[in-house]
Amino acid sequence: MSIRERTFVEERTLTALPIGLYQTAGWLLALFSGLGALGLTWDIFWHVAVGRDDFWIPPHMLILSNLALSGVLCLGLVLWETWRFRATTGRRESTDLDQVTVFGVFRAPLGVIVAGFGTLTGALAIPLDDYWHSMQGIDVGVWAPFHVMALLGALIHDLGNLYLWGDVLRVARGAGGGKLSARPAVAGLMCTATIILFRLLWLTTPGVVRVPMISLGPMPIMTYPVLLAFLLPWVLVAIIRTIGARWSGSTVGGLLLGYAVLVGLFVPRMIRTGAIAQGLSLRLPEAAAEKLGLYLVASMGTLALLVLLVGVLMDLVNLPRTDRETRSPLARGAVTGLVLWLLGVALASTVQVAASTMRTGAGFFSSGGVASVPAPASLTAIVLALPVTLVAGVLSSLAGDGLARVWRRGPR
Amino acid sequence: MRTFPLCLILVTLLAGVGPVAALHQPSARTEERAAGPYRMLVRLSPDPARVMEPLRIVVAGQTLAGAMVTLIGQPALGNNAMPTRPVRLIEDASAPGQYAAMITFQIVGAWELDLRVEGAGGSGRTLVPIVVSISPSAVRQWQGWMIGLSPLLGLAWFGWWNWRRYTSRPAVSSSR
Repeated sequence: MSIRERTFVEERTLTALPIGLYQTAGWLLALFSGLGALGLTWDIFWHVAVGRDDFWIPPHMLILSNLALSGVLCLGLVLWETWRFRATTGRRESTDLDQVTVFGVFRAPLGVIVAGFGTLTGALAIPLDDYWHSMQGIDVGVWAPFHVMALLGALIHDLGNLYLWGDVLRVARGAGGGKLSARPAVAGLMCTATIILFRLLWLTTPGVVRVPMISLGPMPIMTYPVLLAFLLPWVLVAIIRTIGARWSGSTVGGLLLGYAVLVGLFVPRMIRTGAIAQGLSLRLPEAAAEKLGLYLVASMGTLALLVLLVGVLMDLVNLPRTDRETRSPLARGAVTGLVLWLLGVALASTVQVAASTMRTGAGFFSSGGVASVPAPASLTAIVLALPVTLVAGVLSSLAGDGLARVWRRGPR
Repeated sequence: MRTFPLCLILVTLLAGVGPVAALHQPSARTEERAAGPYRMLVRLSPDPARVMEPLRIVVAGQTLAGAMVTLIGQPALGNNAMPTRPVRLIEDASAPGQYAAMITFQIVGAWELDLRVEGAGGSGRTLVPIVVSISPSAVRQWQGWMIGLSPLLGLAWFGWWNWRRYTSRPAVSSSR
């Protein structure tokens, strides 16, 4: 074997190995994130059903262990890739993935770096959250400063994983492997997007009942549709336009529905098992505890169904036509915003009216927090939310468009 | 050097934390209550109660000797919390009829101390309203939100950097 041939073989080995490795890393990151999202749901309903007597409760341990595993994986990949880059004295990259240098020392694919920073953000949020609770008490809600920080960390982690899968997909398609070799990357993108959407849905839930309206000066604005239009479209648009296959958005919506129902089925059992293991009893009245599973599946299934509907719509308006691009990003974003306004108003208004009716009666909300259920959003707030939702839909769709363009274009 | 302004901002934010607690002088409150046939004095310290800090409750009554006294913290109107687990008050061996326990509240707001007595004279119950306030040395809400939302700044910077990087290079490989 000549020197030239040997170099070619070494290059192929160096190039081929990391792609497979990064695919595995992408799946592991998605798995850790999926388990972390399950832990998030378990944690929220644990606090409702059991309370919080200790930091070391089972759902916290599930979240923390997955955070730690993600951190170790990202750190390991960064160190390994940096070593590989330095071993070849920086003459060439060891993969075709989009690599960046951080702090002038570390070299790794951009997705891994972003995922690592997300994990670090989540890890920082945990002690801050514990300190916050020790000073302010436990706030029964998702919208607390360090709950939001931890969720942002998880979202940044998942965004990094989307970057990684987008990069792997680009390389797989560029390598001429055709659809077959691109399939794992397509599946990885869809699964990661599913987990991001699940977390984003949790981030929006306080907008349903707890904060039905916000005030911009003298103008009240219904919260929920604006949040939906701001947080959901970018994920679906980025996925649809990166993958470019028919019904990508609907598939992600379907995956989300399946994941939400599974989580809803498992969490009540996990709460009972965890409580028994720790020698704790449920604080909820027995009748409410028995309905917890049904409540979980119904509420999370409804939210996921909403995303599925939006996914179908976005498939219809976002796929590039075969001959030319005819719909402008602004029009696509506005249509998405309009549909999310309709769906958001319908869903939130129904729940808000139901919750305010239950204020005076018995039921799931009757143990303690009944009086804090605010009044439903006013008609003015609903109407004024429309232009804001349209703008949010356009901005979010443009962001998704931009992400897809970045993922489809190579680093050099 | 680039991290210096960031450190300065963090230090400024945390400066508000201050050891205000050192100035706080704990006080106590005593109330006379009737739980069914039992008359008793209920002493709470500190008053007001602070979240995440133990509240000492002492119950004393001549007819209470040998009784079982339990305490549950019940969330009052407007408090979005769950009742606390029952705590059994321990009778002081040197002072029959005097019971004490510690209870810690994890949620700020209005609560009621639900005292239940089971003894020779039958059973009785009384509710003592209290307000649990935040710790005096707590970081303020706006400071918490500033730190909590700080990753958004990082995301915004990343978006800007990523887009600039994307637009500054020619497209070479794309499929479909």
